[in-house]
Amino acid sequence: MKLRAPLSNVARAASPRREARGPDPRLMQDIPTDPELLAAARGGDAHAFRLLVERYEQAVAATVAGMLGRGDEAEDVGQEVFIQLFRSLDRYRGEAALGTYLRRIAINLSLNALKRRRRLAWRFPSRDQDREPLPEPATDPDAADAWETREHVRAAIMRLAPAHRAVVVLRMVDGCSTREAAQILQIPEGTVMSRLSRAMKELERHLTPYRRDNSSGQEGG
Amino acid sequence: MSERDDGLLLRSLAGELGRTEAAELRARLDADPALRGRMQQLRMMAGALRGARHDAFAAGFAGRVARRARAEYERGPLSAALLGRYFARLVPAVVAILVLLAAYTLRDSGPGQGGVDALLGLAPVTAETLLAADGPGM
Repeated sequence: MKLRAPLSNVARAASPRREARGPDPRLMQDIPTDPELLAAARGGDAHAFRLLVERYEQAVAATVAGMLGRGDEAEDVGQEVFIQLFRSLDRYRGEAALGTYLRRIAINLSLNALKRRRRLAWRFPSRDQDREPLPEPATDPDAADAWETREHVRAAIMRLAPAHRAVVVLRMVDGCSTREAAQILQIPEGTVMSRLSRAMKELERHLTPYRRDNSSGQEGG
Repeated sequence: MSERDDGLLLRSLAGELGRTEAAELRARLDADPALRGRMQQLRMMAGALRGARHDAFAAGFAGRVARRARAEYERGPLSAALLGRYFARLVPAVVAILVLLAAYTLRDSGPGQGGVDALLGLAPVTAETLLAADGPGM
């Protein structure tokens, strides 16, 4: 596969970590757009494809790990999302934004993985199923609080039905708009909002025992 | 709190309301403490959910994907997907051949032969065939 210098020069400028601090203005004008990277990848430019993977890794990780939890299964599905993009490079014509397109693949593959998981659970029942591997414990008390909250919220998301989980992950965790979530899930915006309202109530029910009365004074009411 | 109100509040938190809808909601929030409380609850939940986002796969993810993509690229047009598509085209022909064979064996089936045996072209099992199978010693 070819490696083209102009795209490789801007790898750092286009990386997600760089985006978090804001792109370097000196390199902004050199950052290739998605269509440019897609065109280069179609022509066999491996580095252009890798830049696309780096650009959308966070979005796909948020969707896939949000749906499946952390672990090898999420990694496999995440890889498969980009491999499907690679296979469909010639067919993808940009009808939807690339982020929307990738999230749609990510949601569909995650839902398939959940179906497989249910079939396996039915055949081979286990007391360990649906449990995420525990992350490293935090030592700093503030960090421990944040970690606990995050883990409780993630565990509560895992208890939602797949259709509700998908809406919560896209709309609330990943920060998609209602319209974008509707496009990804291929359902009307009204359905997104009604599923989201029900899912939020369910999440509140799961999280009530863990809530701390430290921000609003709503607990007593 | 109704599902519709929750939806309205969630859209408001995401900045998705139009000017008129936002003004109407502000007026309702000013007049309704329960709605204000619900807004606060949803704001807290939204913050907690944003904080639960997974940000990345294990280090080196892009490299692992690139290696898989390279392997697919090098495998060329005879990839598993293309083979699958090629064989999918043969399915109608295979089904047609199987139907023809079944029709042929059904037509030639003898009296007393079961339906499945006839379909599969198996010889009818009779006392005579069983004795023959056991051999002359019996």
